[in-house]
Amino acid sequence: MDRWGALALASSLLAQTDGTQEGARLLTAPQRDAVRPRTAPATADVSADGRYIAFASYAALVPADTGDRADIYVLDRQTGAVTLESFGADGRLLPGDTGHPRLSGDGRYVVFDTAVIADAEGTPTLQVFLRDRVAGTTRLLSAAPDGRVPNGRSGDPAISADGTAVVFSSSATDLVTGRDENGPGLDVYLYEVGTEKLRRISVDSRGLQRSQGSSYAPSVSGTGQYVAFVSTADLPDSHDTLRVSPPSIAPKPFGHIYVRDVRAGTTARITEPGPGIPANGGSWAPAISADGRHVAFASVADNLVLRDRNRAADVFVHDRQAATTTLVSRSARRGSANGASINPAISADGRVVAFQSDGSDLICAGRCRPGDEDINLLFDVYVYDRQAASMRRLSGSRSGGWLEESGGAATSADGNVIVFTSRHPIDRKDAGNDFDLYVAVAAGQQEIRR
Amino acid sequence: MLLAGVSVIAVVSGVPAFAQSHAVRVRDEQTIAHADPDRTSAGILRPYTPSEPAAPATLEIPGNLTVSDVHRPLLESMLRASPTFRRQCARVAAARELSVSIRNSHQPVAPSARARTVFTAGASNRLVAVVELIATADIIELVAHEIEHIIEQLDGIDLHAHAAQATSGVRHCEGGAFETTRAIRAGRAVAEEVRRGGR
Repeated sequence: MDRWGALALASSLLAQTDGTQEGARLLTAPQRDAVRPRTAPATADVSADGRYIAFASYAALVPADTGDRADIYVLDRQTGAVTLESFGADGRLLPGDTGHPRLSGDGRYVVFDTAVIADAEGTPTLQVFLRDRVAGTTRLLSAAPDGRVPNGRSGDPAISADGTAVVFSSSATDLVTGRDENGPGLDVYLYEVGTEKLRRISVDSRGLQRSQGSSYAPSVSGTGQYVAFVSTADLPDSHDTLRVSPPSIAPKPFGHIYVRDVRAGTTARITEPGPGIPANGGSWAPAISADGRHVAFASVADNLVLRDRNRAADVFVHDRQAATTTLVSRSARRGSANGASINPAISADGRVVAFQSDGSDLICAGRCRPGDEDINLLFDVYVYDRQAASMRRLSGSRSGGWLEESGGAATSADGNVIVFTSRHPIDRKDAGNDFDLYVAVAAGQQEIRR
Repeated sequence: MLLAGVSVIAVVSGVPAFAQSHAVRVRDEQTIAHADPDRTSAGILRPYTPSEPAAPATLEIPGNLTVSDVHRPLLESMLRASPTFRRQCARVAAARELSVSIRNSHQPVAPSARARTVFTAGASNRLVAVVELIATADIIELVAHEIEHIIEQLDGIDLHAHAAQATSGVRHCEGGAFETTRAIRAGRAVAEEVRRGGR
């Protein structure tokens, strides 16, 4: 079944109905983000059932938002209420831009990053916070053992669906006790919400950290057992020796995707066309399924699948159980798309992958119906159902794709609610050419109650 | 066949078993409800309704678009009749770092082309776009076509990268220029809207 097929039609029907008809729907909320880089990760996230949506917005959506900075809001699709959540531990609105919100599966917890001032010179550094929306409390997660703000920048947070584990990257060298072998190089850390324990997990299967390279952009499975991340360090458990050249002659390292099994204490590289054979290009932006089996990622490597000839970034899914890697961002002709595809999000079971692509042949190639054409030369948001082998563009309407840029998708656990941002006007009055939030709800899903 | 117009960029700058673990129960909404009305609002999420492009507050030619007295009435009529051209002008007007001038050319502006836009980078990240047109019957289409090339640059589109891909909607032209399906469609859309508006 193709859940997303009726999106464009339903979008136009919404103007005439109360939204109760069957069919995919598109909803909007203001973010007024004029500065979001086009390759930036998602500025919104969805709870497991699609009910709650966390997003960063420069718009003042509630009376308490008195600043002009980006704040974190959580929207409840069931009640229609939006709440401001970017408060510090002292209960006051955080003064800087807050971003990168990620929700626990039940919507209780939201993690985000924001700049805080810790030193006497007043230098702001990005740090990671956890907001408990039930208790109404916020705590700094990227803290040194004595509770201080650490000596480096922390960001890229993600939280497990069950809310027990938060992962993030940091350049700080004092987050955990002991020597930080790579100094100010980025490492990935895991915070256990229950025990408040923080540990570095960008290590090899012997638990050793490399002195070279950086690790970042973590994604965590449903219970926190598996963490996928990017690393330019050489972490494969099959290698015992480091292959480090003198810096002056070493080629610029590129990132591979690794998966750390936190419980078993193992780390494995998944960007390999064959056992022990590394990908021949950089990979980044991993998104791991709830059970840890599937990992979606972007890569410019052209040896991960056969006939990858576009010389551009593609989105792949690696099945850790079957040890296979498949191309997701495929052309309607079945080969690689004629553009770059990045920033995947994956459903809990690995079936649905949402991503952005500036390719123009993902829906149709050659002679296209007017509504299927893609002429904007910019990123659009697509959803690919791996089981049905169907590709749909979400950033469009019945008359065709939008002319404006879209990206930064996130998905609910079942892949039926996908959020993304777009510069497309949210209504006739929107002439800002800034990014706003779009919520795509697949056919048959719950509509807002007003 | 002559090209409608082209864009010339002179300066552009080991796995264990997998237990399912995503069955997360949604908590009762009361547990996450916020009592403070200052921190809560409603009616933020709205159905998306496809609509015509937002019209600018005034139907004036953008201040950063310099046109001759010959072209001014033409552009004003385009603004009145074409939502697509209004969208284009809104983008141009909002780009403070951009200066556009439109002028006639009395000789071919490029091999096989009736119009072209040459971009140069000025001081302080200023982008200067000079549109040169040969006066023809389809000048409305040409103007809108070239303005869309300017918006492509505002959008940061890497024409080189797209032109390297098959059927991407960008192709190389003579003299290091590019042609795009996007600009062709925009030009035709404005021409059609003006034609319908003139009836």
